[in-house]
Amino acid sequence: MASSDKSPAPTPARGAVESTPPGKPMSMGQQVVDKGASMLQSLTPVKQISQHVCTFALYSHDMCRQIETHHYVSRLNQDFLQCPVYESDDSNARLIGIEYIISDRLFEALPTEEQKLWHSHAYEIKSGLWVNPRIPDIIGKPELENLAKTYGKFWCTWQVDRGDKLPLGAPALMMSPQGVNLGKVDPELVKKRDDKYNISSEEIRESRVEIEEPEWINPQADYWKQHGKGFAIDIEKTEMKLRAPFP
Amino acid sequence: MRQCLIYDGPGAEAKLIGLEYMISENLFLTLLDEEKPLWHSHEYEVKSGVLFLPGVPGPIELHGLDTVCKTYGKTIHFWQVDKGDNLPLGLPQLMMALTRDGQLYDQLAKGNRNVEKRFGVSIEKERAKRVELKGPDHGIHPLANGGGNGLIPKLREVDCKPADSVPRVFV
Repeated sequence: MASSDKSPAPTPARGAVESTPPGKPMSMGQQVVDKGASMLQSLTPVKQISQHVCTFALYSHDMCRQIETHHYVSRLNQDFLQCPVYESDDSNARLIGIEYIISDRLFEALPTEEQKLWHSHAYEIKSGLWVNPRIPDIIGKPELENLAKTYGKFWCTWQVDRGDKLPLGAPALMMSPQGVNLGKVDPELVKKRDDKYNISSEEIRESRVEIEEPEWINPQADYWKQHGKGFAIDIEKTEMKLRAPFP
Repeated sequence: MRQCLIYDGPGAEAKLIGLEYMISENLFLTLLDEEKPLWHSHEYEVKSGVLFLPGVPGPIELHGLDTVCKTYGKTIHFWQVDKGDNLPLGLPQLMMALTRDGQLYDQLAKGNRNVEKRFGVSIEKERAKRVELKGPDHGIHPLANGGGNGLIPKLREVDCKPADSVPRVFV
């Protein structure tokens, strides 16, 4: 049974933390196909990506494991954003998951059981952990007022921080940084990010003091805070409904 | 190794419903037996003609498909738009691929969804062009494609480590 919280036993797919997946370099033929396709196809949905956000996330089943994340955000409407999440902003960055972001209005309408899978963003934004790299903070400010009131649902499909060279196991639920105990991000991790972009999260926090706190954060979100529990996913066998033999 | 974002349509309003990773046969064979069932083969999708690259001329497409035919994929969806969900609710779903004739509902390819008309393709013609393509060198691994089982996600609560057990220094 595959699980999101059980580390796979050592295999060739695990090992030293390297950032390149195993596999041969691209052949000339493959490059021709990729070039041809990218010239002829519009890739419209991907072109809706309008901003790059760098922030941090924590594994719901083990909040000691924390990662720097790079969200590439597209806005579908006033209340909804969808983001592929990568481990870095490099061209060879691994795709590690997807986060969905919704307004508080949409969140309040969710069933209670569903709300448990979501996290709040207010702390992450006000603390300066959430940044748009290379964009002066003043430009991003109005959007941040809006985003501070949102909730996110983030599934991680490739646990690169534990050395997986391929995306193994079940997807893992992620939580957001919070200002209390287990939600606090390791300062070393933040420093590393800040140095890379030549910024200071502390200074950014000070400049965001005026951003309004949401009046209320739903206690079902950030479930660990009130309940001391995280979530893991197990993938189990089941009987398959079929209309033809499989496989 | 390829990584793919999956949307429910080709337009600006398309919903990001999931992702897929594609790996070579060699990489697939390095996976633990417990992991292999989460991956599916691509041979049938490619050879049957249902998988295509919209807008890409035949010869270029065929060259690309030659490789894809031998790969394995791991696909996870987070948003069940086919159920009418207007938000990504519930647990991530492991997806399988088509592996033989008779599995695909006709109305998806031809009926009211009419993929063929919308993209100007003919699945039958594609199938005829792809006769020469070959699947994985070692054949489709018996543990792939769920190992013949359905696979369903389950949510489990786990205890958080007590905060004071965690050595942290915060200035």
